[in-house]
Amino acid sequence: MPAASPKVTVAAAFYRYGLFVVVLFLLLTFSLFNRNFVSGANAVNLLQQTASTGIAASGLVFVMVAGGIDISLGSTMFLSSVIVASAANAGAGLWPSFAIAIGCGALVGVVNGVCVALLRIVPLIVTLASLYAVRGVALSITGIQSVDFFNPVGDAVAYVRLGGVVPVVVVISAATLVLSQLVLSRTLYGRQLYAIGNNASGARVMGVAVRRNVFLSYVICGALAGLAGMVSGAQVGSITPSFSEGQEFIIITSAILGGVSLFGGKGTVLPGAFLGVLIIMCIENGLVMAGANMYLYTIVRGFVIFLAVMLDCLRNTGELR
Amino acid sequence: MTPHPLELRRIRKSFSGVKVLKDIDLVLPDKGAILGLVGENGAGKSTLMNVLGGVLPRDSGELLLDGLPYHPAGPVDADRAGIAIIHQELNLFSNMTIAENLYLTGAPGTRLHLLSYRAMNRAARAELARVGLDLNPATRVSELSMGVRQLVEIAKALSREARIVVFDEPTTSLATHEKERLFRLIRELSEKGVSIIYISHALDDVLALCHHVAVLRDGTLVGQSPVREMTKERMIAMMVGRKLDQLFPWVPKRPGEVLLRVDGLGQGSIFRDVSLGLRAGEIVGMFGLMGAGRSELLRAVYGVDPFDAGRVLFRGAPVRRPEPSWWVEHGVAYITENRREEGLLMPKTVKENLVLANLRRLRRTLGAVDTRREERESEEAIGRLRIKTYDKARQAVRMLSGGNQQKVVIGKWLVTRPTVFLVDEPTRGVDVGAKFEIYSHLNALAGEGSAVLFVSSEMEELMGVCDRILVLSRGRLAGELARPEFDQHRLLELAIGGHDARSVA
Repeated sequence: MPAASPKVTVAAAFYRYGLFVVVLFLLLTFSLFNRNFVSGANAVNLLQQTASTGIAASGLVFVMVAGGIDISLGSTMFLSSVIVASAANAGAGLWPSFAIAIGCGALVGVVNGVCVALLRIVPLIVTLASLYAVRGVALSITGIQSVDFFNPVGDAVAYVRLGGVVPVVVVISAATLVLSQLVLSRTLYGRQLYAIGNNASGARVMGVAVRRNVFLSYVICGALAGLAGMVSGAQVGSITPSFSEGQEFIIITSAILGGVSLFGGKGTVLPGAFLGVLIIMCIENGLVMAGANMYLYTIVRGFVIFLAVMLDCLRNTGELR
Repeated sequence: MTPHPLELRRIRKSFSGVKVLKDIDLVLPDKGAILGLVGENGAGKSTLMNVLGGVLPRDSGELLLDGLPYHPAGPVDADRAGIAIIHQELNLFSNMTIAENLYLTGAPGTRLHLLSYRAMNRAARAELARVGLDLNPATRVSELSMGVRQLVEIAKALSREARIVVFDEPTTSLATHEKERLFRLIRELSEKGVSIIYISHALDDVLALCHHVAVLRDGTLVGQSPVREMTKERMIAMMVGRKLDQLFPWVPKRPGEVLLRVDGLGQGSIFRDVSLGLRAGEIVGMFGLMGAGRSELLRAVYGVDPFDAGRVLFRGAPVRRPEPSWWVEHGVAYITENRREEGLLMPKTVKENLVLANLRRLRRTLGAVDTRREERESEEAIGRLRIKTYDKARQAVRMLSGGNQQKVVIGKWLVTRPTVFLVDEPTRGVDVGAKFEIYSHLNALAGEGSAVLFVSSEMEELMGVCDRILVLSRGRLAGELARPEFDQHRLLELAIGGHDARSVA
């Protein structure tokens, strides 16, 4: 069928490079409206803003590639930020604080992972339950008060710039993104997750330890959500009871926009999910600059979620999973 | 005396109290032997191979490899012991490259847990060459044809140093030339000392390829013998446990009025100018090569896909926009080629699936379902098609063997006694006994005054069952043969030649 092949390659090219085009388009549009947009300072600014979402999204990619989902991310971030802020206020040092935040998130991941991989409960239900339960636990710790993160640890994470130029949060997020992508594409564990997401029973017959791998994916996802919570908490400084509420949907939407499939087996952290995060951030920034009112934000977010899922479904008609 | 490469002794296996394997003794007599394993759907072939491959634990019995005990706790053990199973549904991951598929559980050149794609691709290229494939190992599996995927799967087995390779129904989705290539490769493997177990319903293939044949029936090994002592008739008799008088029941019929008429139907470049009529009481065959547009034509007639030229008439009146629900209401049934995907509710029970298409007729006053009739009709379908299920009200269709799932789909429509029945490859992957039942049912339907359109790529069954055969070639009707004119050469000629032979590109 020679007549059909050019069409196919155009579609393939769109799937491959379409995201870059969208990001470029958004950046261009905003720079037209605002001359400061394409400055170095604003670029750093944008990267700072994407840091926590990017970190959480890279964890989510592990889960989604294996065909799962985690909607408890926002609550996990809240719990870890509350605990790490309190610990730092009580005098915990920088490195122990990181360990606390990551450990906290990993613990939530262990619970999710046990329910999904061992008890075989549907991931959406498991993480819906932990979405509420985890936030409840965190609220009972704070007594529904705000927790301040204005301490040396918080400052070190949020304000310090390495060499006076690159903010610490940008370094943390870059390292997380690169490492996650490396694990996904260059280790057997990562490749096996893709296989599981494509055909779990086939992977089992091939001798892949499906349950263990899926369990681990939730632990990784939780741990990175914990780290993201700490970064985000340090940036806002004061952790209110509604901190990170609904954040999971922004993270999930970013991942899907970036080509990570809800159906499993497909997607990358770099460039995929990261580009998705950039797109979402650009849109939100644009709305701020345009001075749009609050209601519009929610409407636009809803529309973007719809668009992302629709694209994902379109990409999944056919065998190309 | 050297020990046998593989010996199974008194293997037993039950599922929820139902004995699926009863004291099976099976021997692969020598290195490089090709053993054909045949039996009806649900006879236990796949279960036996799953026990061998460590996917299922056996209940009792012994397995010996080269005379040494072999008791796999999981698929990994089978892999280490050099046993590879090439399943009917291939275990390749379509989202990944060939090389990634080959080295999913261990890759060459891995250092500090980091994979080396260069080393993987280089090694993969060599493995592919062993099965005669010259392909870039970085190609995604989703881009490969079924035949090539199968070769990749074989390459994967060889890369694991497999000594025993099991093929489970390898030819169902292959084109003729792909099948020949596969057989050449199997023979080569056998010459190199790799032992083969070959499971198939295509008995002619088994006779041509294998050195020994073993027959399973109802979880018992009914016999094993060298292929020269075997005939097709004997295999069938052993599999079915009774003698089928004739493979194709045919009775002369008296066709009545035209029930369904297709007039100049066309759909893009897929098919064009197709006109045909189905009369009450006749079975019309439709033959054509792969890609001739047979399935697409049926889908368009039934309203699953749109068409852009021509019209469809039912009992003389044009159907403005064909729609599956409309057809069902008017007693026109259609069994698709992908019946497992489109025709079944996998998690539901056998009974629920069987009565699904017939619920409308099972209604009593106030719309309640007549459970007694539901029971009777599903029981009848199970009996007549010999569907193997331990409990029709409890077993999910998902748990049935592939062939039995197909029987459920066919049974589901048969109980509705459709006035027009469009069937696309109804016997693919179904055992001989059930094939015979399906033919008989089609005959009975026609006898009651229904019209049947029977699409198949097996000439033999079309010639055995149909009253006349239409041949579709590259989207056009190339000809029609009445029963006295039936002839394999003529059919093939029409299918290949068509009236547009110049455009073969």
